[in-house]
Amino acid sequence: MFLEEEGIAHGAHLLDVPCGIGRRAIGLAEAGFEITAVDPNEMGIAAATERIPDAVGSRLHFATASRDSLPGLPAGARFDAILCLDHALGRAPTADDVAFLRRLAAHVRPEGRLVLDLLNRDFFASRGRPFAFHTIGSLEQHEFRSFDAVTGVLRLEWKFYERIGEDLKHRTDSYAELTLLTPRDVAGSLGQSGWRIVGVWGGWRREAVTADHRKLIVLATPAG
Amino acid sequence: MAAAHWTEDLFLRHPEVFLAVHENAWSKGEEQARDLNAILERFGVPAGGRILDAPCGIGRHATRLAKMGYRTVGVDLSPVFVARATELARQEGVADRATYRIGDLRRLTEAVPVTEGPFDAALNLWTSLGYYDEETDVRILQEYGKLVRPGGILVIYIVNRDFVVRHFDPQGYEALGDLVHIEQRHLDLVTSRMRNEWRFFRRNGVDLDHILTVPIDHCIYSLHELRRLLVRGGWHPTEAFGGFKMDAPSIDSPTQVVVGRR
Repeated sequence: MFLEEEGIAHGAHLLDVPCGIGRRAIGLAEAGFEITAVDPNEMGIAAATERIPDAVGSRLHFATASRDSLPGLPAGARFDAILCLDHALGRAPTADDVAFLRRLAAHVRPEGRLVLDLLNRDFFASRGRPFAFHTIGSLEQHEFRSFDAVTGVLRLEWKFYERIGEDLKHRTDSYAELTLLTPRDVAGSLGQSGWRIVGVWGGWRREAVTADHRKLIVLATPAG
Repeated sequence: MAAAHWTEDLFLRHPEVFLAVHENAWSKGEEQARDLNAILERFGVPAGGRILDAPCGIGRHATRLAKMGYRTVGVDLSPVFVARATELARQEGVADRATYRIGDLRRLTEAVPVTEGPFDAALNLWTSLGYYDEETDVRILQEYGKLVRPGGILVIYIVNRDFVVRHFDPQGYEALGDLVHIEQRHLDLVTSRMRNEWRFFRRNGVDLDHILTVPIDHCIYSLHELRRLLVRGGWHPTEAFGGFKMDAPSIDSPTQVVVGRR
């Protein structure tokens, strides 16, 4: 819907990076888009490739590539839109983000679009919510959050349990450290990498950004 | 058979779980009792005066107030909490000045007959109103009134509805030693009722062994509502504060203290 409102219709060529395990890319291919989906995680890409439905096999292409070499595509490849979702910035130093965005800028058509979906720093800075839990089938994920306002780093620690009856059997732990950005920070990185911001919203329905929105949806186009 | 009220589940059927919560809070009672002492003095409760603390839990306030010279009577629904309060009062050397007994707030004068009064002050602490309906809260406030002398006070320390609305956090986690308490919260803005699911687990290595799930259902009040409730219960509202430190009430204060005079 968001893409259609931007005039990016069925048949358009999309680059999805990083694509994770490819669930979104498969959905978009089923909706009629032509997709190249790239992720550094080889296991994820191998699993995604096996799951490609026959009906969309001709429209969907998975590839492994590290962020440093991204997109690892033919030099002339140009997309109508690049999707860079799930807080793909702020996981590395700013200079790396800028270099990554510059590489992406080389693979978009002049009037093409870049769509970013980031966590909103102001949301996490303005409320102390140290804990959340989510249930996914029989799995229960406990998330412990700590936000350092000085560095802007959100540390997320996860404990995964399996529900056996009402007991929780521990399965694995994980964590992530994300640098959270304000819209101004994002505009800075985009400006340094050949992009111009078209719009920033608090959600996919183009809500005005407030500190109550968990996400920032950022739309950019080549600065030209 | 109707399902038991959640207070019965939590305080009567599985008191060992909430006992751990009380034990964890015990050390905070020292400072809170000093603050309470300042509130009591401000409202003219005499040194050595008689204080009724209901519900009292394990007496973390009442036993401390007794150590400061007050004579306190604590009442709680849970026999387990009352036994522990009695034991702690003995350990603290104030068994003669801090006594505890079993009782239900809704029928306070059955546990503490009016002939045992009057008290100089009554305490309702740690969000101990709103467990039933509003009419029941009015009756509970009237019960305190039967036991406090004219000119005496009632101190209510309770969660601040405005804070909850502004800072609503839908989930919570607390680790108390081996006990893990996970909360899923829901606030109904129409009825002002919090409907929370409290799950308690015991740590077993890296696993969490389930002990108890209790659906909590209680009403939360804004300051003006509490003042109106006091009036309906036969009290004259005096000052209100944002907490035990007598700071000004604020939407950013998680708790509120209101003082009623009889």
